[in-house]
Amino acid sequence: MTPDPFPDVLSPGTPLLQLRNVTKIYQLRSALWDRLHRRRATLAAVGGVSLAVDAGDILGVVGESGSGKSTLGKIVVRLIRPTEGAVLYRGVDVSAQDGRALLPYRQRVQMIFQDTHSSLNPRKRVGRLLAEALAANGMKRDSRHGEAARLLRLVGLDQVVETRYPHELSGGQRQRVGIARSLCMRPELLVADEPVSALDVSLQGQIINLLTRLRAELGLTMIFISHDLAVVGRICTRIAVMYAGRIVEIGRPEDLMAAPVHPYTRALIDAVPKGLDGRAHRRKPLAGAPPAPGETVTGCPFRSRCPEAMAICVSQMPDKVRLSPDHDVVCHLATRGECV
Amino acid sequence: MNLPEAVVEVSGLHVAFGPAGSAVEVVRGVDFSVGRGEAVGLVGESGSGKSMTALGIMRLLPRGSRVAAGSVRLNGCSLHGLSDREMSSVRGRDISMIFQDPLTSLNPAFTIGRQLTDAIRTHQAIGRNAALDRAAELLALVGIAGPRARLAAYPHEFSGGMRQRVAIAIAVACQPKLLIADEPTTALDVTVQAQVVELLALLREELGIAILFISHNLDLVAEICDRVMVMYAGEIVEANSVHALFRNPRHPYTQQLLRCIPRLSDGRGELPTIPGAPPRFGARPDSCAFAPRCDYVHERCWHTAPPVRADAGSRVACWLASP
Repeated sequence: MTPDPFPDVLSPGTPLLQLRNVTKIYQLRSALWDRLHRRRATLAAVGGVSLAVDAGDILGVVGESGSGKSTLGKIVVRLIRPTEGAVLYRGVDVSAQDGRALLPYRQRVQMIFQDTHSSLNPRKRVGRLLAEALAANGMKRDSRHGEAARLLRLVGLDQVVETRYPHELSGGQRQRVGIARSLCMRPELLVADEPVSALDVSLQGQIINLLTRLRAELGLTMIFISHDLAVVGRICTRIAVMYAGRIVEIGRPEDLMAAPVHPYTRALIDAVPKGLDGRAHRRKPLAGAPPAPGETVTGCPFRSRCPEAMAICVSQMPDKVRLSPDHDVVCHLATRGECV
Repeated sequence: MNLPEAVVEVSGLHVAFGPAGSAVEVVRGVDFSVGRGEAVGLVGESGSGKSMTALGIMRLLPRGSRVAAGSVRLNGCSLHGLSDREMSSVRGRDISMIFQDPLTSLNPAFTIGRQLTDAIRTHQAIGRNAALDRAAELLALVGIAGPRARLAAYPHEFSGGMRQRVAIAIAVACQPKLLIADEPTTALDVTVQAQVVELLALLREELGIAILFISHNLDLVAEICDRVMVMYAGEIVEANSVHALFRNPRHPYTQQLLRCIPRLSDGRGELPTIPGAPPRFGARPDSCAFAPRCDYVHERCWHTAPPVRADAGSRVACWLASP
């Protein structure tokens, strides 16, 4: 087993997870002519993201599809290696680690996926799925069964589920199995990528309550990726809003919901269905779509859809402005506060 | 309440899987009508039978399932006796449908211009060029920029929201009286969802198309529909105008559904949930299907199916709502 490089006690001021200027650039397929002239189209799926997650936090990451939120999640669990920047876990940089060196990190950081049909092997019974994960964590054969039963109880499932195949379970039950499996490693940080987006409203609540309960009981830290601001606002301690690979606004949910500064954050809030209230006060939905892959945009990437775009937005990318210790925004509209 | 003249009337619709003796009913006696130019919502959890109701109306039920009883009337004429061929001409011309995933409802091998003109020329005797003009008009109507040029594009060249717009353009190509939208925005982002909902509202205004909007999100339904029907375990347990249903939900299931929608205005903390899960079909006893999950369950709920209380425009199937 690879020795674990992570200190158990965090020195004061060190966040559990820190991203420094993390960037992921993909080369797009381009025409031969362009390749001969060394003009290859690139896509910055994530561009210069810096953020810190303290132990016990639930960081929500919201944005449209293509905003880079899932890529960011995959970089955090190191399924993807960032092109640039550092991923510091307990102060140790894991961004360049590979293979066996990553094993201790993989034990501490686990992921939950949206689509349980593709993340759970359909040909293995739930008991076996959990036992394999436990074996990967080095657990002896004779204790695996008891531990699998304990984990199933922990996520609110009956032990009979052990003998079932994933397709025999409902969507909510399958997601619970996914959560139980991620807990086999006894992780410290869970990255949940749209864990409830495929579920009905009534089930969403059950899974979200389970995650918040687990966080309290097991002392977990979480990154919760979602496109639903209403869900994220309910459970997260901080919310990062992503657009075109960048964080455009980050803050505590109460600040972000009550006084969103970035027009994109406002548009996301407006887009949440509001029932009878929404019927009474119809707002014009945000037009257009995020920049297409490979499309180069000067200035602010949101300007083409922004209802408040100004001349400066075309020429200049806005700087990050700190409005309060917990609230940063990247927009020319933000004038108070200081640049960071 | 003065209901507009009905475009589609569904009465006593039963949809079942399996052979007659051991059939499992997934839609159990659904009655409703959609008036001219009206938008009606059909809400429920997965497995409640909302999609099967829609597919039953369209006669597009999956293999192994069938309409076991009931009738569907279009403009007063029963669709029951129609041959498959006649039914084909009803679909698209009188009633059309859009689905959750526009990628599966569009053919990846043909340009969208071809798919649009096919839809138009199936029902209208017009030439290729006239059909292409009409196709471009339709793309413009659903808000696709540069419609002429986009006719030559394939579905994969569009984003998810744009594909749904194309699917909508095909669906409304022949000005149907009713558009059935089965979770049309569930696979889309919230911002795109808002765009699609706006588009449906616009089409209804401009073309006078009635809409049956199927969703699991009551808040979304409330934004575009005039009336809402709540479905549980294959039955409509409550139906009312949007305003009345939101202000005064009478069925405990509707109350629970309304309670558990996450809203921006909520504070932090536990989300309300509906404990338990919907019954598995076939295992349902002859009682109120919601009884095992109901907060107000009473002795009689376990023994007798609740009476349906209906008056003009509203109905509820619960013992609590009886006088």
